[in-house]
Amino acid sequence: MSSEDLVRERSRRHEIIAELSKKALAETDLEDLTDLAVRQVARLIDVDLVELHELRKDGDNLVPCAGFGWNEGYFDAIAGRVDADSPAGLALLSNRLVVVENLESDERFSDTELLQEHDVTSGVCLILHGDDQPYGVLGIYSRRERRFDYDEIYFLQSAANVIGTAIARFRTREMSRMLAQRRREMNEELEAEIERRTRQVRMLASELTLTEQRERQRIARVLHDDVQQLLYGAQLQLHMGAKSVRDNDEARKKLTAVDELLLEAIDTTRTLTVGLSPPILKGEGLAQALHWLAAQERYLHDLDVSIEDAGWTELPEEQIRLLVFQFIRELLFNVVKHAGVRSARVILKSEEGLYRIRVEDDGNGYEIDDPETGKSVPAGFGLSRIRDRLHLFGGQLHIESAPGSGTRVEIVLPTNIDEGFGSDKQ
Amino acid sequence: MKKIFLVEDHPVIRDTYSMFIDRNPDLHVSHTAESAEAALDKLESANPDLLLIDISLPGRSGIELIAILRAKGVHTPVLVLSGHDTAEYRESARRAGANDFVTKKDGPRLLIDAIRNVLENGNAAGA
Repeated sequence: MSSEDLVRERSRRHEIIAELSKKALAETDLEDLTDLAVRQVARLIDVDLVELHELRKDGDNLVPCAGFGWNEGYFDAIAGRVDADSPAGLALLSNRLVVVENLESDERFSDTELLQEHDVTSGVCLILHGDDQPYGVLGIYSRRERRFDYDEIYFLQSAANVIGTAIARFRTREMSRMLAQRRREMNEELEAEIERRTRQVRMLASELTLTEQRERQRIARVLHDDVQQLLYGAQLQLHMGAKSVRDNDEARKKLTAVDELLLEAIDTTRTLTVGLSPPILKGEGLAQALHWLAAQERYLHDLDVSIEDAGWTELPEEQIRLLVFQFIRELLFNVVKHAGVRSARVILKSEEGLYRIRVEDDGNGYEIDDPETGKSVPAGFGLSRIRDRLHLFGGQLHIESAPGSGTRVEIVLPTNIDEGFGSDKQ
Repeated sequence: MKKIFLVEDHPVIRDTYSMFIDRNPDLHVSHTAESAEAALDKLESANPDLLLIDISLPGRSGIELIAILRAKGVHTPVLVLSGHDTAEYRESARRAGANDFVTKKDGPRLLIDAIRNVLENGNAAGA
């Protein structure tokens, strides 16, 4: 070859390497890239056959991944162990370039049947270098006997380096993608677990609230059904006994004193019973119970409570009615304690999907930062407790207030609360 | 002597009220029952002049018992006895067919007066 031809050939080969590098950067599929690489390498030094083998992670097995010029089915046949019986195997084991000038006469190799079937005479096997271990082997073969000169070996090594770098980049990208995928999966699992635990905690907390309600009712029942009856019985016995000491002033006075104590005990148990579990709620709805509560507030605290319940659809579940009743009672007690007025309004509304219960007054009002959380509401209002309990049942508490402008507190509950509370249905 | 059928689930109240009412020569607790079901079983053979019924009974309430009796055509006067004094309970008792309503807190004297008024008039003055 003349010097000009040599320069032209080197230039052509540089262009092929440059093109291969460019394609390696742009290609997103490794299989497409290796297919392209073997075709480019064949062009590079004008050979008949090119093969690219990947070294498995165990370091003992080579697997073909791309080829040029081979008969169909060849690649399925050549996957095998890395050993010195083949040029590719020897290259890997020796960690060096292997050049075969004449396969038939080369005594180093015994496993060359498939190469001979393709009339391979000469070849070169180069290692594709990786970080910890080689990625694989690039093999190029010619059907005619030829010696591969320094230039050809140089460009083949350049091509092998480009291919090795591209494989490294693909693997890194694949690893990153798998890590990102795993991270996403773990996040999803974590979120699902958090959601499950949150539901569980919410269910337990709502069950605890209802258990507390049921315990209050139980205590009220014991007070009414047992303690109060015993007190009534004692009072009656006392009255019967009083007749026999009619003429004894001293004894009569003492019995009168006992009677008064019994009356006081009866009053206390009645007040406690009503406070723990208002009797009106057992058979009646919330609206009816609130009318009873209004009478109680008038009698106990001189508070005039108006109830607006037009269009109200009743809460079907007794425990929820009891809970909401207690919230309203607490809100009315706040009016008594803090509002400085003697009237309040309770408004019940049923809308599509929601129950809305408002307690309003035109009293002193107070500063709040956050209408929903009422964060800076002074202690003792019990609003945080009401809000937290409402959240357990999917409800909300809204507060509007300002100094001198009264207070409006709204309880909002979803209508599907009755399907899910206290169960795994949520 | 007028026969009174007392329906009250608490044994102490049942015994004490029976004893107290029996001290009046014109009144006698002839039968007692601890529940609405037991009362319905005994009523026909008891044939009382007045039914004294506690509002809070196990199972069916006193109000329900009164409604059942009226629906069966039993016109025996009924005096309701309650541990709670609420307008709603008074109204429920009246609607069910009770003749009058006393609370346990009203005291034994008022109970006897109420029994006599119902026996005499069918209902108390002002009911």
